[in-house]
Amino acid sequence: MRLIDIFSMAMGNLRRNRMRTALTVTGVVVGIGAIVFLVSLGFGLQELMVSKVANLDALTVVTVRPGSKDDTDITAEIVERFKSFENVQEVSPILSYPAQITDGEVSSETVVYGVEPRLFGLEDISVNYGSSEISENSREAIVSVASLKDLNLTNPDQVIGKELEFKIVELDATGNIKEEDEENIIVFKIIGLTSEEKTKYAYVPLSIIKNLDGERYSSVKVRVADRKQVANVRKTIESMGFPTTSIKDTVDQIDQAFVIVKTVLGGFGMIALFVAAIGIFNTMTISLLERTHEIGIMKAIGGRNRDVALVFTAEAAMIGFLGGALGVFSGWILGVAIEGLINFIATSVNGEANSYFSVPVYFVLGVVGFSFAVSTFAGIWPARRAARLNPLEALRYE
Amino acid sequence: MAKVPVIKIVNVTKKFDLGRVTVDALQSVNLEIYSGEFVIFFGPSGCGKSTLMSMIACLQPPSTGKIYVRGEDVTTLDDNQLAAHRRTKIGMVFQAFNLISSMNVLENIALPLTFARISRSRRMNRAENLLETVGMAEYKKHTPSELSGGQQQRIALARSLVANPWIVLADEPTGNLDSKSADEVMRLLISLNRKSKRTVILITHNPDYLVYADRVFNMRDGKIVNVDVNANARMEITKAKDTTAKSVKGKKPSKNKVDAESSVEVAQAESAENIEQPIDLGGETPEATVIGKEAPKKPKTSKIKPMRLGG
Repeated sequence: MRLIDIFSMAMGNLRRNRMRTALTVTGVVVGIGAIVFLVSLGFGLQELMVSKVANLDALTVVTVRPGSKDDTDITAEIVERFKSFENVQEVSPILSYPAQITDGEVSSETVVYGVEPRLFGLEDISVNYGSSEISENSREAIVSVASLKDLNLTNPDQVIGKELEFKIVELDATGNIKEEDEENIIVFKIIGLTSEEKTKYAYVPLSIIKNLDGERYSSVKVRVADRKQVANVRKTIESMGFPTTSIKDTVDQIDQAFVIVKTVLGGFGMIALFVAAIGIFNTMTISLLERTHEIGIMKAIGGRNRDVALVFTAEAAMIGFLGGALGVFSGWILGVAIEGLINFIATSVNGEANSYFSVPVYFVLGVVGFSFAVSTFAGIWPARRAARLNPLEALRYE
Repeated sequence: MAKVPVIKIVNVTKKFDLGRVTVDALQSVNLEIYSGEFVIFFGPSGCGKSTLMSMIACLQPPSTGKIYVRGEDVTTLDDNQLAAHRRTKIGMVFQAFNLISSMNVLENIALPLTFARISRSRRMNRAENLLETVGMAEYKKHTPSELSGGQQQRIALARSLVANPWIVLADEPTGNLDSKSADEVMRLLISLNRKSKRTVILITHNPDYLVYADRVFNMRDGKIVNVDVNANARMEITKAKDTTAKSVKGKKPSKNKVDAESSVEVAQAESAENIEQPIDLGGETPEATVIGKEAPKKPKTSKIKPMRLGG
């Protein structure tokens, strides 16, 4: 038989018992809908989480630290070498010191990072209050809320513009605190505040603290031009003896964790699809019994076993395809509805609206294909049974 | 008539294993049927005539023995070859019509061609021609359940002819019909044999039909007990026409202008002479060259190329 005839015959057979076809398709819709809903929740949460950890820009930034050997200190010379590498866009050296912030009688611990103001963007820090622009050579600082907690400065209005005394602690090569020096006490004006509550940090212009120890930087951030080249650049730098880290490591870990989350969520949906597959099997088997006489006729007038099997398989496959397509649609609609509801509630209590569901195109195609495959598979056994019926016995069957 | 055996059955037996007992449905049957013959298998219920026919139709294999159809041993064929045999070599008509209820009349007739991978337009064209041949052109969109038994059987007959087989097997085709419908179906079968030179094998319980057969194989208890040769069969048909012609008189001639395609019954009703006019089934008619005195013009059917039914 021609493919078009197989499908039109299969379609005719499905139309003959609309109710049963609709119920069987509904079974598949529920299964596929459940998979799409749950896995798209997994995708959505993954994207949400990654976006909270890092913006896309940050994925191209590699942090380089000094190595353990003597010749792996990050000197100005090394910074220049990094700049000369292919695919490297920007290189931002950083000096960091532990510091004590004092406001009158109270004080708080923090870490001061000296950065080139121009390259502050590489830090992946979002400033929530005040300015995110540090001026060159100015005594200005951007701090996290965590740094100021012990000072009881939590109100942003109170903090922005305030001048605080920073006591920079210098460590010698062995890690001991160097003798205190009057020059190490610098007053910075707080111009920006981030709502980071766990990590204590304060960003200041590199030039202000550079004179403390200009020889070696504590780390350097390297921005790679193309995200695909990140791994190569890291490899080159690491081969020089410098350990590197990237936010991409964290994102990879998140992605890895979400593979498990999505598998578990998809697994629940698979249970529903499995039940639907049994439904298809059941429908096809009943259909086989009902149509035994008809199969006998088809074979008696020259239908091959293959023709009979293909018509049956096509029926199962069409149920799967239809159920898959409608299932994707209903799973998606359910996600949209629930997301809308959550965001409505969230925004009405001044929360943040987020996207919790995400349905990538390849996932949609994969799921429809999967539904098609599972249904076809469920139809194979009844189809083979139909094909192997003895024509004469089938003709006698009423 | 050339003595070419179309069907040759050699030492065929059939045993049915019914658990504790084994039934010998056929015991060492030998027969030859020749091209263009009209043959009847006659006998009481359970004598094995249907079993014999179903084996010629390749619906079941014999327990032992050989069955040759046009020289080919059908007992050695695989499933696909058997299907091709049923599709192309023989046309089968059943007592229970065996039309597919979910398909309309045209689709039913065209179904064997669907299996043969013939395009929809060609097979529908062919089916419509045959529908006219059996005098039911106006019913093409009906479903079988909307038709009377006689009409259904005529559709089934059209279906059996759609792939242009050499042999038509009819297993009590009139068994479920009233006498008028039965006569129509018989007349179609007879004209198929007489005009298109198809070999027809008929199973019947009705002794009235025996006169139309060239030979009657009388069967009993799985054996052929004797063979009646009826030399006058060809004349009987004329009588048959005279009696049945009345029943169809007054029907409108077919609108189809192609003479060769005009309905059999109309042709028969009009004149006894026309009995020799062949039913043209479009395409390659078996032994078309020996067709009667009036060489039919076939402008329409010439468009229909012979179909390859190998699938």
